[in-house]
Amino acid sequence: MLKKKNNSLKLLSLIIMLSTFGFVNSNPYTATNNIQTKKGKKHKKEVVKIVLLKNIAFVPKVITIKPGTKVKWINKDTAMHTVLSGTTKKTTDLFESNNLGLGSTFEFTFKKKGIYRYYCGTHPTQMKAVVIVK
Amino acid sequence: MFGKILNQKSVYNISKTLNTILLILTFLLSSSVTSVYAQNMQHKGTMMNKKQMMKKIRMLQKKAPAKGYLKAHAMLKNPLGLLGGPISINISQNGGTAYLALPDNRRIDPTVFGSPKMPRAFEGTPGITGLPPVARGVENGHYTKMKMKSPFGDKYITAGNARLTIKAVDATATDAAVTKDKLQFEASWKDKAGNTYTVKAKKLVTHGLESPTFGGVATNIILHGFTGLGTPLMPSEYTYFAFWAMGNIYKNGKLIDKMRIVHGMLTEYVRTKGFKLAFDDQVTPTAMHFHLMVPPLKPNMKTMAFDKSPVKTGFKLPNGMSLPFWHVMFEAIQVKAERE
Repeated sequence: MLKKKNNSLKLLSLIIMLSTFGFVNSNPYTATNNIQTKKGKKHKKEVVKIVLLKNIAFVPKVITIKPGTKVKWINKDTAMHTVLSGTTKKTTDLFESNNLGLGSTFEFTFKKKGIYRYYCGTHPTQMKAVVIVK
Repeated sequence: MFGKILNQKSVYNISKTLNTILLILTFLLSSSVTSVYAQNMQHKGTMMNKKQMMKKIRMLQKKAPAKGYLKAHAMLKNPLGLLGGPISINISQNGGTAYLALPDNRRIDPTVFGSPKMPRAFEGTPGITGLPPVARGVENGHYTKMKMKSPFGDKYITAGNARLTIKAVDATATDAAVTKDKLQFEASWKDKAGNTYTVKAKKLVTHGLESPTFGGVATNIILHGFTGLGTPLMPSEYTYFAFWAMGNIYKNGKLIDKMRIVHGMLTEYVRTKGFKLAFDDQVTPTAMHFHLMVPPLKPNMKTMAFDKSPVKTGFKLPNGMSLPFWHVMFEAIQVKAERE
C-alpha cells in the first residue's frame, strides 16, 4: 500500500512538473490527484490547478474551475510575491499567502461558485488575476 | 536668575545647532526636492550661507566610522584575491517593469536607528552613512519618519521596457588603489511618455570614501542597515552581488550627465506589501531583486568627501521638478554566477 501511495505521489509530482513546464499540451496547468482512504480504496479525484507567478505576472491570468478545485500558486520569479484575495481597493480576506520566495507555493481550495479576483501584495498594479468557479 | 539665563541661552544654542544640522541634511539630501522645512528656516532668516554649510558637512563627514579602514586600503597596490578564486556574475532582464523610487520620508526602523533615548547609526555623512537624531521625527518616545525626503522610501512609479545587462567578475577582495574586478553594466527603462533612460557604468570605484567598495565588485556580503556599510536608510540586506562605479546618464540616447556614482546590488528581497521598503524584520531571504542607485552626490577627490550634486536624470516629477537621483528596482531578473 505504501508503495502504491509512493507511486501516486511520484505520479502527482511528475504531472505537476510536466504541467509547470508546459509539457502536457491538453491542459498545462492542471494536475489530478487520486485521494486514497486509509483502506487504500480510491475515494475521489482532487483536481489541482497550477498558476505560476512568473515575470511579475500570474500565468494564466484567468482560470475557470469547478467547485472543490484546489489552486496551487508557484513562484517562479526571483522576486518576492504574495497572493491576496480581492482587489487593492477591496480585499476580501478569503485567502492570503505568506511572502513567497523563489520556488515557494501557496494553495487554496475554492468550494463555492463565483468570480474571485486576487492580486500580488508586493506588485499590486502589475499582478492581478481572476479565478472563475462555475 | 543667572542660571535661568544660562539655561535659556543653552537651549537657544542647542536649538540653533539642531537647526543647523537639519539644514545641512536638507541641503545634502533634498537637492532640488522642495523642502518645506528649509523654506521655513529661510523665512526665519536663519539660513546659513553655502560656505558655512559646507564646513559643517565636512565636519560630519570626517566622523565616518570607516575612514581609518579606508585609509589603510586606498593606496594598496597589490590587493589580495577573493578566497577560493574569482566569481563571474551575469544578471539580465529583457523587458517588463522597472520600479522607480520617488523622494519620500523614510520610516525609521527602531532596530537600526534605536530610540530617542538610545539612538544608533548617526555617524558619517547624513543620509549616506548615518542619520543624526535631529533628522528623525519623534512621537510618543519613538522615532517615526525622517524629516526630509530621500531616495529611500515607499513611494514609487513603474516604467516599462526595463532592460538590464550585467557582466562582472569579483576577483579582488578588499578596497585598493588597483583592482582585478571587472564590470559591464547597462540599464534602461521607458517612461509613459515614451522617453528611454539609460545608465551605463564606465569605471569601477576601487576604494570607497566612506564605505568600502571591495575593489569595485563585491559578492556575498551584508550591506546597509546596522552594518554601517552604505546608508542605514536601506534595511540590512544580504547582498549576493554589488558594484560601485562611475558612469553616464542618457535620455533617449543623448548623454545628459556624466561621471556619476553608479551603485548596483543584487540582494535579498527588501520590499513588502504595497512595495513598501522593509524594516530589518520584514526582509524576505528566499527572494531577491536588483537595485540601481545613482545618488545626488559626487566624490570630491581633493577633500576625499562627497559633494551635493543632483543627478541630471531628465525625468520630471509630477510637481514639475526634476528627479535628482535614480533609485530603480529590477524584479524580473535572470541570475547566473560561477567560480572561474
